[in-house]
Amino acid sequence: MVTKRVGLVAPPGVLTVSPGDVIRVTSEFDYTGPAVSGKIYSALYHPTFLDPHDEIARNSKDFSITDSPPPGKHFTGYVDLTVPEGFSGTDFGLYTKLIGIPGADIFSPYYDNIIEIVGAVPEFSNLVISSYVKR
Amino acid sequence: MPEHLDIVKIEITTPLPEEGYPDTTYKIEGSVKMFDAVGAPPFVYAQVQKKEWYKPEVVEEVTYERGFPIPVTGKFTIEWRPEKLGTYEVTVVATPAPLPLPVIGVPPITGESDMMKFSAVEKPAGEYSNLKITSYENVTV
Repeated sequence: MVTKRVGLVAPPGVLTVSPGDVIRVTSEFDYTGPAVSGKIYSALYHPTFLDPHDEIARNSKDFSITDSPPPGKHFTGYVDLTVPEGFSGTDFGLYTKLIGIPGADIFSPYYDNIIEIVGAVPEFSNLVISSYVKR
Repeated sequence: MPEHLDIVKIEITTPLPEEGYPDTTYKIEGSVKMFDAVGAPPFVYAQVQKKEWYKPEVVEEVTYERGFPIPVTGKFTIEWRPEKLGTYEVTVVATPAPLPLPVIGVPPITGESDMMKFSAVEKPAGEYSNLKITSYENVTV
């Protein structure tokens, strides 16, 4: 299997993708405490009338960290998101959270308007009457 | 408590921490030397006594974790994993023969280290900070 990398962007840069593309979201955090395991969860979202962070793609990956007494450890991980069909525009964002850990989920900031989806909506053109007959 | 003959010196180089967590393995490191004697190092054990305020000392739970001294140097490592919350008193003891487990008819203790107090406390919740997205890229598989 060959992974072809098309672009690498850091916030607040904008990454342009198309439906079916895979966005690799790399996140990092610092941790201090006893050994722990959980999931790193990332999502692609856009604002809607009801939800400012309506997720259109999401994925997660397991992580585990050994005992991390102060000053703690630095962890980096990535999650791949497949851009779904049927969306286009420039108002897509990303965020990451840690789930399945003791206590409440931990959230990254919401990074608004950093993903542009192009070519998602089928385009109709050249609609004409090509002939007509008497029946 | 078995008879105590002070003919073996036990020096602890890595003692237990004063506080730790259940289900976590801790190491005690040290060395054992026999006074005026030649031969293989004795058997060493961590004698672990779980302290219960409501129990007389004679009925407190006592367990033994074995260490294996290296010949000549006498250095040893004992791994111990507390299973319950609470206070423990841990002493490394030397014996001329292996202790049967469970301990029935304990051979004489030929030396012992200073006693180490250990409190097994609840694991604290971990602290997470600076969770952020550092990059994103378009990858095609």
